[in-house]
Amino acid sequence: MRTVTNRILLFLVGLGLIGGGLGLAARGRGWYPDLVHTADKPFITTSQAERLTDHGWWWWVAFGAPGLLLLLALWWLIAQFGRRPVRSLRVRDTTAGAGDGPSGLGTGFGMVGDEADTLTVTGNALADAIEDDLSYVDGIEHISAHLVRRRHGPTLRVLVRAEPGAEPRALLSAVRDRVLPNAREAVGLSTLPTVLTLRTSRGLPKRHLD
Amino acid sequence: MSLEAAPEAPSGASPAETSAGTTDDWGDGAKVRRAWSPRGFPAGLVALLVGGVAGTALYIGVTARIDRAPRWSRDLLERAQTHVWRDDATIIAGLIAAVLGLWLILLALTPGRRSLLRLRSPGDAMTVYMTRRTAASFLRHTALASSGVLDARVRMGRRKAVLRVDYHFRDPDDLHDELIERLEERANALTLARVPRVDLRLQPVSGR
Repeated sequence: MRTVTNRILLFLVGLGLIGGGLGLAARGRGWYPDLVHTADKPFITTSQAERLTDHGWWWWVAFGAPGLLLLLALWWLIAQFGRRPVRSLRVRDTTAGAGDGPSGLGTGFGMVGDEADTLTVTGNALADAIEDDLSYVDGIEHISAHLVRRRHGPTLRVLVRAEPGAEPRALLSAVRDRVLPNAREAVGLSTLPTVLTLRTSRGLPKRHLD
Repeated sequence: MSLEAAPEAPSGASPAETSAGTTDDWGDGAKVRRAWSPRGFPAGLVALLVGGVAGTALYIGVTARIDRAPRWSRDLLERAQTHVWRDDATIIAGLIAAVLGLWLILLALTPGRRSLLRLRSPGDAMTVYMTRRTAASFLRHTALASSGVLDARVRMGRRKAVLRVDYHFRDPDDLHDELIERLEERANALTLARVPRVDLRLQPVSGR
């Protein structure tokens, strides 16, 4: 959603800049149409400005338009920050997959609520458990996992740094077949959309002659 | 890192990726789309500028209404009411604004994220990316594993991987055949949606 909003607004601002810029350049060249002003006069004369401020509605426009624009710009700016982390998840069924093991979501692990029928687990706890589970996969050097909120529910974002000799297929198969099912089962989610980015460490030194 | 699927039609698939997509339960390479950048940085910058301009306009309006406008704002209004905007500076400013606008439109319409290569999905609602540097590192590791290879430099594109390999004490034809076979096998094993073509260039160390 943020991508679409950003792109639409960037497109509109771009159109405005092109229109305004070309209009300004045309006026600088003296090509400005004479519908309102002649090219040899200022944009707005003092007498025109005084006449405008005599109207009662003028001040509403003068305050309202930039005020609204300021609020929209602030909203747009704030929307760029933060990845909206999942603070807690309500566990639907704790009887399956909540025991000990690499998933690590057993009793007392990062839980923020423990009532008779409901159990909640923090997003960080689940992400940590997934990192822990991933660390058992061959060829992985470092993992960073985060659970973020999206429109359709929680989404897992994983950054994996693998060894240069790792097999991506085996690594991804382990994630698909073991790590994600463990995580889903632990918190009772039927699906957990995952975006995984694979990187390697800085590479190998060149081979030296001995 | 925020990534979203591209709302664009998929590009054509090469024979390699098509065959790879049908030999296992992984997604078909022809159906995956490029990552689209959220354009967060330019959006934040433009929002900051728009907010700055709007805030300044609001400040000028409020201070003018209560007759406490600062000198700079009165000078600005006076200049707007007296200056004839018919000079080179106006033309240049207008053209700069138009070019900036064009740049913003290009940002809005192009996907970005050129450094990311999409992998075929293993399924289960997984979206997987690999940086170009990562793919290059995997290929370089494979090249360095061959005997006689001293160093390898990889330039990774979306469609082609160019490897410049320094070698010694090997027959170049033998080494070329061996490396091509290994590198193509490795490129296929990376499960990239678009399997890159391998372009291998051998350089004997004595020739440098």
